Amino acid sequence: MEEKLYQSVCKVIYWLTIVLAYVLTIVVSINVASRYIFGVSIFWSEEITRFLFIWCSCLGIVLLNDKGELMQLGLLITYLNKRFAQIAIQLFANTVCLLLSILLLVGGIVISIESMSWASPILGVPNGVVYCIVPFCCAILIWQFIRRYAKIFMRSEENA
Amino acid sequence: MLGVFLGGLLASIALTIPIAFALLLTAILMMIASGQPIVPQIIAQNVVKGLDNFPMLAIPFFMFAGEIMNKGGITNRIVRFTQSLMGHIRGGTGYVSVMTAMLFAGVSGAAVADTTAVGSVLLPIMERDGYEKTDSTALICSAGCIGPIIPPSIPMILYGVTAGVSIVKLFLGGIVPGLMVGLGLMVLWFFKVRKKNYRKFKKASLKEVWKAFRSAIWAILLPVIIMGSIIFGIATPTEAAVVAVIYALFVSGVIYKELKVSYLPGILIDGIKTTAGIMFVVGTATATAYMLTITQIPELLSNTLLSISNNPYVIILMVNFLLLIVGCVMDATPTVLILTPVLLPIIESIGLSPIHFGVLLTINICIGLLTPPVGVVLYTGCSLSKITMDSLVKSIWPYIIVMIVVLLLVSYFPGIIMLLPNLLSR
Repeated sequence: MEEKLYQSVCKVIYWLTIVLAYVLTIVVSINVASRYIFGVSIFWSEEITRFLFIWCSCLGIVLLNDKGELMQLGLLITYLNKRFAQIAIQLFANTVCLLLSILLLVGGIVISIESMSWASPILGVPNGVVYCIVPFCCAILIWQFIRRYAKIFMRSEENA
Repeated sequence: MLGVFLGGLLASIALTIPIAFALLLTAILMMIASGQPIVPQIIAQNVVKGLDNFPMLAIPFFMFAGEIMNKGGITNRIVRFTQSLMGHIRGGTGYVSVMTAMLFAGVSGAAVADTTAVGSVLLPIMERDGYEKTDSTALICSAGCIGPIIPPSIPMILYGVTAGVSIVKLFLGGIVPGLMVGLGLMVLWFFKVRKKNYRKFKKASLKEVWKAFRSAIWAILLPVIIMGSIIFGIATPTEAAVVAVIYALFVSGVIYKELKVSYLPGILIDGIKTTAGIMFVVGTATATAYMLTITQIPELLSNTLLSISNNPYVIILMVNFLLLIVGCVMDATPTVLILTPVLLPIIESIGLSPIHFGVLLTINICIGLLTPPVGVVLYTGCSLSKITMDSLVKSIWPYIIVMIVVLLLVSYFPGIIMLLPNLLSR
């Protein structure tokens, strides 16, 4: 049940990222074309582009973490022979990531709520709406790190 | 405080914590050590500030353009054209690799993309023609590292934003060193292959060269359009990146008819994921940079280094040495984001131009991509040609020496780097 829900959420995030990336590319392209062909910039383009870029980046982080592809050094794990030590390091790293994600979730909720009253100058979108992607993605990261505990233990049992 | 910064960062990276989280943890450890309260919203605010960075938008677009080139048949045509020019020389496919990598560097801006594009096309050809696998992989990996030196360049965009210097000037500064590295690799290859009996291609007639040129002209024009529009002030780097995407889509889809619509989601998601990995580090590095500024670590390091010597030549040597060592254990993005705020005050105190330093930093990073244990281009090469890391490392060191020679030349003769920025940029 939980697995099914997780896969569905990941699928939604995957397609949402693709749609946003399409929109981002189209908006910036139209703006560049309009500037050089008609000599006029689309006034709302820069603002929406910034928002889309923040959203795409945050969703991309979730997709990367789903596959364990965040930039990291795996040297110690590779060179450590003792299985127990390998598991201990993986558990430690996962716990640190989990705690930091919780910290970012809390901070993200606070800045999203605080910035709901500031609207962007052109589109009038509250900054809190833009920033709410941060706590949303942190919540998914937390979910991913919790799931990873199970994976670490399962892998250790398979290797035993 | 310096110990907390270095110790915290190195220990957490060594403990396999992803680099973005390692930076965040270091910032928190520095907050604790300096007696400041840990306020989640200050940390989150700094991360968001790092993510909300308009000039960085060029990164996904250059990624998209590189991917479209690769999947849309553009790389193949560049290879065919350079092959018609140099394929008949002894070891010609090696020269073709370097020239293709330099042309591809004019679009992609990332070493892994450059190595993958050139290697996936040329390594099977080199293997078929009897080239030693380790040697050809070493050459292609080193040629791929020209990617970030010749503009556009993702490390230069990152440095430009972090240091607050002109990305256009950095791009211009990278052109001559990039060409020097390419030329150096070809000279080394010449000496390596002169006694080898590798299979050569039949010398192409003028008609065949013309045909290959006509087929590749749309692809060759792409780097010209990107750099031309940036140099002549027609477009910003971000706009030029968008133009590159539109142009690459048009050429691959309409002219060459090799790019299918079904490829686009994959291209977009790959580009966004790579960018997201970089932006996450940018975001958390902003939080660390905030703590670095508060605790005055750059000034502390600067004073320590200047107390050893205040001779600019010695300082440049020490900085290069430090960057080479760091490059062995750290990837390009964190190296730029962590070391720029730390080293820039030292560089400025000895009167070196930040543009000059930005290009030096990029070359150092590219050398780092080829050095074990953390050389991502080495891993790319190994997975492309299915050879072991040990054998590739043994073959790659002469190419690394060539790059170090170029690095030293451009370090001590700043005119090589500054020539084009001074000449062309207003």
